[in-house]
Amino acid sequence: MKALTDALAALLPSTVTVHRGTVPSLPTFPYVLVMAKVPDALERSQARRKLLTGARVRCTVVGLSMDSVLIISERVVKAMDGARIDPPGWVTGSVENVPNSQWITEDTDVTDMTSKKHPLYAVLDFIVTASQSPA
Amino acid sequence: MTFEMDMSEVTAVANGLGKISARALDDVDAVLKKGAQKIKDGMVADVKESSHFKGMARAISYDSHYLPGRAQYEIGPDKDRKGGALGNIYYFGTSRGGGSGDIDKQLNLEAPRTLEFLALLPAKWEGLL
Repeated sequence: MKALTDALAALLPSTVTVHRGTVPSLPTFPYVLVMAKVPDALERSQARRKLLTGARVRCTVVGLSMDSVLIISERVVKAMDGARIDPPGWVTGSVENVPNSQWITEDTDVTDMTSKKHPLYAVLDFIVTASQSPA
Repeated sequence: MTFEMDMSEVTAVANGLGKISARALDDVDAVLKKGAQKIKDGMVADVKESSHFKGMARAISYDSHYLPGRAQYEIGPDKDRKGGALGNIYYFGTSRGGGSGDIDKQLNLEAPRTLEFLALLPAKWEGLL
């Protein structure tokens, strides 16, 4: 399962700062926070054997302006949506951006110490379906 | 030369289809409404397990939207209700992460059952033709 989520995170463009799982207490903006969900069984055989797994990653794009969030989001979607990954031990479909109807939102609980601004963030969800390669 | 055709059976089918279209929307809506209720109940149960977000349980509801030939349900926290604004943080987190709630979980659980019930409806309408 780690191979799947690692392969998804590796798609992110190298031109953006990426934090995996946690954000430093004083981050530099903009950044992308990558969170992963333990992959779910999407489909099982009649004998309940797992046939298809869904691996999800959430990329929270954080910046100090709407433009910054939009530009980084565009780069993230371009790098990930429709991409193919080849993690060892898995046969995968292409990565899909899952619509979540979320607006870019201001995080009023956080203030950037330099600019004294509240950051804005967009949440982008991606999923890839996968099945384990035959041994 | 004349050409004549008995259209009585075609007319009967057309009349039957007319009856079905009116009834179909009601039947489909009933199935969708039941599914929406189950999804809502599941989302409420999920959020009640969270020590930080259980206060938004009462804000989870569903709304129906109807268009000609179409029924649609929207399920989730209502921002106009007490605690509803927390839904965004519960499901999608903040700039520093979080978002422990799974907004798709109950839909993924209920959708196959709802689709099964929808698939049974055409058999119910056969008698109307």
